[in-house]
Amino acid sequence: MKKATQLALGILTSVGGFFDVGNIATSAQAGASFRFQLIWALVLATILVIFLVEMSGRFAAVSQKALPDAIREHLGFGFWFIPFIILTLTHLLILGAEIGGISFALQLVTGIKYSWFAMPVALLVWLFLWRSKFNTIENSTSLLGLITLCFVVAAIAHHPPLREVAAGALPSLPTRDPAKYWFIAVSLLGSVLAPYLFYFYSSGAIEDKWDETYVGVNRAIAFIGMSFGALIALGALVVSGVVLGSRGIEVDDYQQAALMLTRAFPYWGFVLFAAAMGIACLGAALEVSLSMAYATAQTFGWNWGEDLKPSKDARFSLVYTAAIFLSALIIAFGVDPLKLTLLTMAINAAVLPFVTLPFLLLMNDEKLLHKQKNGWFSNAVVVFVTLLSLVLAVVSIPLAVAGGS
Amino acid sequence: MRRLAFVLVFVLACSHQSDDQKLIKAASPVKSWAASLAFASELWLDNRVPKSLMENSVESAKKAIDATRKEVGKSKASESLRKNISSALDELSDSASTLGAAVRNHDANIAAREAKRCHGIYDKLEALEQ
Repeated sequence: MKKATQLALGILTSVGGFFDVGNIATSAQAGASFRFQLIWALVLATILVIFLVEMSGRFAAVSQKALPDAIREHLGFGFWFIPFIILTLTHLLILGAEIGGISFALQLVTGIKYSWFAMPVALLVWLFLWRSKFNTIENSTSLLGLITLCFVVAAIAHHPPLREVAAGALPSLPTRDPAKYWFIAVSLLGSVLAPYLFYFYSSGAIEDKWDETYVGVNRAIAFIGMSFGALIALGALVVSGVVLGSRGIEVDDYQQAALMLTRAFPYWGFVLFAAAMGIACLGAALEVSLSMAYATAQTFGWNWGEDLKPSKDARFSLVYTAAIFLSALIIAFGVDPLKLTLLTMAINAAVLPFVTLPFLLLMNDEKLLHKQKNGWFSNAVVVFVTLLSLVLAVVSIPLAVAGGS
Repeated sequence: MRRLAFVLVFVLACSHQSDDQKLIKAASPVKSWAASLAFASELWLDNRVPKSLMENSVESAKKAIDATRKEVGKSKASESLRKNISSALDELSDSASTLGAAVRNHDANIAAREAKRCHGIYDKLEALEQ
């Protein structure tokens, strides 16, 4: 019974927790600029993220270790240190983008410029982390995050041409602006395959005291939760294509994206968009902050745990405190949240090899995973993700210059 | 390593454009803003979006217009194209200012007229791409 409840809650939290500022920005831009043509990137990323999330949960449940913890212990501090620094910098940018998303949602509602909200939002995120336990954070923000289902409802309400939507699930070459097309494709992949997700998920499994008996629950959460989460991103892409793309509106600013729900929900679509964006980004900001603190504490072998009092894991608490306020500074100085988000999502894709390579080594360690070590198919998927990430790393940076602005 | 270099060169080669194409691409945010202002105005007239969104959209559109003006100034595209784009930029700038004032004064008639004008500017810019 306890496992059934955890399964249901896990699926709900995965659905709510999947969608963040990166999904909003990339789905809105993909739909507005290329209608349904980039759905394939979302489908591909979803398949890959299901595998990676399942592996990170299985690893934690069986080995009783979170990922960075195990990487340090089994592959050595020297092996992990440079990837850790690169991932930490990436996570700082992601956290900045999430804080920017919340701040922009507040700008939509109040009309006051987003940069003024950066520090109050940072304080809110910090207070939430300082005062709450892991389950409160995981469940409350993710359940509230179900408001993002409004994108799915809106997509259905618009009766999109199903044949065209289905055709978009198959990769195709761009008919115009190839630089922009590939940059958005890369960003879409990066928005779904965010490295923080894997560290958060594996550390969360330890916080929730999973053991080997949770392997099945983990598999179901990874598959059903991520699939439903991707459905929300698909909803946003379709709505953006139908409402914005058909009017020639491209998303160069969140203000343009904010118009996408106004047809399906005439009198509260605008407020619903702001609420969905604010809540989704708040949930993600909490997850990214915790993920940074988990990764840092596990890398250096410090005490960690959101359920511990801050005085019991002072360095863990210090990491998320510093990360939140440093990231908020990016937005407080007036950096455009949408541009920051799109660039960060491309960087996400570029740094994926730093996540997948140690992952591949650990997932094949029989001493750690016994019977639950990776089979050939899961290995093939990780190798594919790594190769794909490597190509994307080379391609995404020039594309960011050529077409991502 | 050679393969990665090949991919890089291929991608950069794909993104090579003529001066006219580059200028048209540089003007695409303005075209998008013309469509956005038209749509947002219709929604504002219907009380579906707040005044602040209109005001901020007008401000963002003007920034995009200024950025594109700089691109036109630097561009080596054909004179007729530069002239057409400059004229569309002037018209959109004027329309955005009028729209901003109409929103401040709650003047629905002028806002509706400017929404139609923005549609027209969008169509002009769209025609340049064909």
